[in-house]
Amino acid sequence: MSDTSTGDGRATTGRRDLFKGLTAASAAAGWATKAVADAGQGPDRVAITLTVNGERVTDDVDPRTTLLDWIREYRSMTGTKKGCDHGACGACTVHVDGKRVLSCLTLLATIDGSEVTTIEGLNPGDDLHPVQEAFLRCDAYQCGYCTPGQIMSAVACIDEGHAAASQTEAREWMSGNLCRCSAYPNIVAAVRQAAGAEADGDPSEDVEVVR
Amino acid sequence: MIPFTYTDAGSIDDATAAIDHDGVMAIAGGTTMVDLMKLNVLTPDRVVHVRGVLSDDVEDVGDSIRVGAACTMASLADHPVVRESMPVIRQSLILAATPQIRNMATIAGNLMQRTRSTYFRHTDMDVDGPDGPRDDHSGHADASQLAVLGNGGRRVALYPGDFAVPFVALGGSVEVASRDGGRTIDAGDFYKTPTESFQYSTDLRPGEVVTHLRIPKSPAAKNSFYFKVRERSSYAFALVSVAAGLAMDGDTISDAKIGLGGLGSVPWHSTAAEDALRGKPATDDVFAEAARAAVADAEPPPGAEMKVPLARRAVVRTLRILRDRGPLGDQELFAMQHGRESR
Repeated sequence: MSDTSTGDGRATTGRRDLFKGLTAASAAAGWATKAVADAGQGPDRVAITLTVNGERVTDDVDPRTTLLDWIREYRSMTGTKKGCDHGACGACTVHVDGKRVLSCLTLLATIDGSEVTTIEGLNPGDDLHPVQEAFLRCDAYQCGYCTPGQIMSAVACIDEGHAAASQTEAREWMSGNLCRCSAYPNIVAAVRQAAGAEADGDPSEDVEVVR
Repeated sequence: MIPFTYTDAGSIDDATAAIDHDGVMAIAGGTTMVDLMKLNVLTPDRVVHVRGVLSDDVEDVGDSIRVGAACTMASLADHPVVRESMPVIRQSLILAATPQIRNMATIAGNLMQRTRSTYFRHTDMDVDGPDGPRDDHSGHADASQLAVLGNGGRRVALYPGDFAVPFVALGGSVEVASRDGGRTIDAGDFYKTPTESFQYSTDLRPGEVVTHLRIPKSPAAKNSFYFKVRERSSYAFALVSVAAGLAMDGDTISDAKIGLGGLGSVPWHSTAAEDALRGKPATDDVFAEAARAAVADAEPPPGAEMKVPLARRAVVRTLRILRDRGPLGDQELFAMQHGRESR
């Protein structure tokens, strides 16, 4: 039996050699050494300054960081939700410079200098935003996971003037926000009520129950 | 996402000096780049942010409009001159993607969308080797993402976008900056049908960056309409789409523009359909003949056969709507797309 094996036959020095080899390879490649120092981050970091919900924030980030991951993981604001992470569901909708965008497809570095508003900053203080009130009144959710994105999208949709003309128009301009619970009729009612296009009320009261 | 170096271009010269569209790629809105980098479909060593050095203006220059490459889909769709003089452009934009994506995506990036086929873009599929595919399983690929026109009789991915369809049909062009000046490329020459690869390529060379798009005005562009058939009412790629414009001289069609989406390996400009319309009366029979001409060269791969009759019927319906109702307003357009009106 050779000295590279233990009594049960498993190689030990082989594994030690492998680790030694890795260290040498890291030292050879300059950026890899830096990557180890940066706890596994990429070759360069990017300095950014943003205004988030009215607060000026500077940071130094891996260029791969998306706005969504930064908001949730580095700013600890978990109101904005990660649904698909590929721009298909709208759960991560926030406002950048007043426009609704998908934070999962936004590289943080590309919006350096911008103003970001998340659901936490929609109506600072204890009062709810009128769109939040409307979602409550209309029971415009079931599980609630898509709701922050729905509300951020709805606020922009109403500001753009795309909610009032017809239900179809509101549906079309809210179509970037999916709801797997399919609370769509109540979401449409909430958006239209908040836009002033329909009278405030609980849409379930209009449902005729056939006995 | 693999690590990459990120730089902000300080000038257009910075951008053209660095970008080769391979190891060094441009990023602007990021809606496709970030998505495909997360999937490791695109793995650039360096990403150059070009948004800050590109115009986002829409200029009305008399006989055409000139659009800055960084103009968003949303801004272009909302511009008064686009609404007034080329409704097909507005409609192709507001029926694409979602309000959020349209606020992010730039118009030059929109032109260069890659295939949405999860088969063809999967990094483990050996679909694009130097000697062609080694193990071709593309018979199992989603047929709705396969080209039926401009495919050379092979299974290749279709061009998925909407805006580029009226862009080629209206005779648009692309202005690029390069290390030694720049040039203008006709939209029809910008897109290259695949001869060996599994998807189209563009005429954009290393060191070239798109700076502007130009779209000519015309009577046919003013009386135009974009009809999109998809699997759900909104937020879906086209199964088939038709960009059409008709200019009338009394009862005679004096000019016609026909583009097809969801069918070609590149955004498809059907000069055959246009020839079948020009100088003819605007009758259903003439429309049917144009529709036949539009897909006469179709070579649908197995599973995509339905796109040929679907395209014929979509062309006829689009032309009838233009003749009988003229360009639709937004409310009529959404009502039709959502199936909330009678035919």
